[in-house]
Amino acid sequence: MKKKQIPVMKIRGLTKKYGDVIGIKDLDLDIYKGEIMGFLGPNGAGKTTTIRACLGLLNKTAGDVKIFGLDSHKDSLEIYKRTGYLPGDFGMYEDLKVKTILKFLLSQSGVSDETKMKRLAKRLELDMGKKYGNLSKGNKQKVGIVQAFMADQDLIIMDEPTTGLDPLMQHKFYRLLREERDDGKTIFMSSHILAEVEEVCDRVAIIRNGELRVIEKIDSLKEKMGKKLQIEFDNHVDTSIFKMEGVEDFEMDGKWATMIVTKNLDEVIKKISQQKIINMSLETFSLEQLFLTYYSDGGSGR
Amino acid sequence: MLMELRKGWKGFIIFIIVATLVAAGYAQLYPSVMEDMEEDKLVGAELVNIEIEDDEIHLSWASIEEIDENIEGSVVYRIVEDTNRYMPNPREINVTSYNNYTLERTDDNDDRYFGVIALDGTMEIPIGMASTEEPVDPMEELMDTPFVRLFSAGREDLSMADMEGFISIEVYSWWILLVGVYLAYLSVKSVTTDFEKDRLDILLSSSVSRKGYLLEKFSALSLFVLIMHVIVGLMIMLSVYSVGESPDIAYLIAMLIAVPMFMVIIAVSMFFAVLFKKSRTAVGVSFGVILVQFGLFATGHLVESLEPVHPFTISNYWDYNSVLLDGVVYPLHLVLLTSIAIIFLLASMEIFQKSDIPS
Repeated sequence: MKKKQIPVMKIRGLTKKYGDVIGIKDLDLDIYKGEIMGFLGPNGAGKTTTIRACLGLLNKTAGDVKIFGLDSHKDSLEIYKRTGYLPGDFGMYEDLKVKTILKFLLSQSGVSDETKMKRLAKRLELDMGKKYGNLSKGNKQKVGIVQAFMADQDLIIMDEPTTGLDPLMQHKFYRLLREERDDGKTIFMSSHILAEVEEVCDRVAIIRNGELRVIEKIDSLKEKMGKKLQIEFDNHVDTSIFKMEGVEDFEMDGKWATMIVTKNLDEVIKKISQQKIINMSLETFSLEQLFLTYYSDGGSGR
Repeated sequence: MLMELRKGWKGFIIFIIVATLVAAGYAQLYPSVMEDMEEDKLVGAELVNIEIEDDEIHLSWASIEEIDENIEGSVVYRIVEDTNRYMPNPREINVTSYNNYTLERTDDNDDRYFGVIALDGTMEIPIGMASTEEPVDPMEELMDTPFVRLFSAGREDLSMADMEGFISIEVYSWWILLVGVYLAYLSVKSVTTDFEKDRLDILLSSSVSRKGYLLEKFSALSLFVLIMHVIVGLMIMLSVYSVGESPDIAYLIAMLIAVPMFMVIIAVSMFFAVLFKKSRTAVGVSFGVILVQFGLFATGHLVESLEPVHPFTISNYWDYNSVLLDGVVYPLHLVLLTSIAIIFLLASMEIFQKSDIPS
C-alpha cells in the first residue's frame, strides 16, 4: 500500500545497557503514520526494552527517539497524551472492578468520553462488572487492550498484545487493529509469532540479540517466507512433477512428501491434486526457521 | 489521590479504629490506676497516728466506737509489731485499754511496722497500721523509675497523677512507634506494590508525571494521617471527659501537631521505596530509622552523653508535652518538620524521575 510517509516515531542509534549487559544496540527505525509496524523477535531479543525506552520508561544509554517530533524523555507527558500503550506485563488493582479501573485510566488520560471504552469492551466480550483480580489471563489482557485504545489516541504501542487471547479473540483483535489503522492510527506492536505479524502488519522490523536485523514490507517478507507443505499420498508418486519454481528442499520418505513452498502455491496444489491424497498439512515458517533460511547470522549471532 | 484513598480505605479505617481504641482507651484506665496507687498505703493508716521522737515512739488510734457503733462494752487493744509491712510474724508488744501507747525507739534504722487490733472478748477487730518508714508517694516512686523517664520526654515535672501526664506517658510518648511503623509500611508499600504488581507502566504512561504520581501518594497518606489525628484527638477528649476529668482541647492540638512529624515519616519511607525499589529493604530501613531515632530520643533523657543527638531526632520536634502541660505550641517546630518532609519528597521525586521504571 502507498502511504504518504510521515514518520510518527523516529528512532536513531537507540542503545540501552544494563550495566555491562547490552539490552539493545544502535537501533534505527522509522514508523510512519497510518501503518501497522510489527516488531518481531524471539523472547529476550530486546523488544520490550526498545518499547519501554521509546516511551521514556527506561533511560537510554545513547541515541535519540522522536515521537510526533517530540523528545521521548523530555516531552514524555506530551507524547503520552497522544499515545496508547499496552505493556507486555502489567497488573492492576486486583480489588477494583474493571469498569472502575478503566474509568480511572481514562480520566488519567484526560478523556471523559466513555463511548469507545464501552464499545471496545463489548466487542472483545469483556465483562466490566467483574473485579480485575477475578479475571482470567485472557480477560486481563483484554482490559489491557481496551485501555490502550479507549482514549482514541494517534499512536498505539503494544508489547505482545495477543498473549493469552484464544485464536478466535486474536482474530477479532486483528480486525480491530486494521480498522484502527484505516482510521488513521499508527500502530507499533511487538510479537514473537511470525504468522501473527504476517497476518496483520504492513511492515516488520526484526530484532535479534538486541540488534535490528531486518526492516521489510510484509509483502516482500512473504515472498521469502516459505510454507512447509507435508503430504501423504496413497501411492508412490513421481517426484519429478514437483521440480518447479518456488519449491525447495523437496524430500520423499515412503508415501510422505515434505517441501518448502516459497511461491506458486496455487500451481503446487494443482499438481498435488492430480494424485490421490491421504493427508496434508501446510505450516507457516516459525521465526527460527525464517532466520535459519534467510537471515543466518554468518557466525556473528548465536 | 482519590484512587489511593479508594483502594486503601479499608486498611485506613481499620487502623484508625485500632489507633483510636488504643489512644482513647488509656484515659479509661486512669481512675483504676489511681486507685491502685492508693492501695500501696498501709491498711487503716488514717486511723493510727504515729509520732517519732528522739528516743520514743508514740502511737495513738481511733477508739473502736468511732469505727463500729454497734460494739459496746469493754474493749482492749492489742499492739503488734513486725519488720515487714505485710506482717508475716507479728509479735505482740502490748495490750492496753487506752487509746495510745508509747514505746522505746531503738538505734537501728530498720523500719518498724505496728498494728492495732481491738479485742472485745470474742472478736478481733483490726483498727489499722502505722510505720516508722519514711512516707513515700508511690506515684513519685514510679515516676523515678528509668522506664517511665524513658517515656517522659525529659520533662521532670511530668506526673502520672494528673490526667495530662498520664495520657502523655501512656499514649503520646510511644505514639510515633504505633503510627509511625504502620505509616512507614504503608508509604513504602504504596509505591513498591505498584512496582511489584507491574502497574507502573500503565499508570505512568498517562498524563500523570512521575513527580505528580509521588505527590499524589504523599498527599493521600498525609490526608489520612490528618483525618486520623482529628478523630483520635477528639476521642481522647471524649474519653477523658467520660471518666470525669476536664476534656482540654490540648489533647486534640497535641495530636494535630504530630501530623507534620508523620509527614516526615511518609516522605522518608517513600524516599527509601524509590531508592531501593524493593518492599523488604525499604520497609526494613524505614522501620530502622524510626526505631533508632526514637531510641536515641528516649534514652537521650537518661544518658547525658546522648543529649547532643536530640536535635537530630524528629521526635524532638513533636513537643506534645508543651501543649499538654504548658499550653504552648512552637510553630517553628511545625515549620521545620514540614520542611524536612518536603525536602525528602523532592529528593524522592528527583530519584524517581531519573531511574528506570522496574518491570
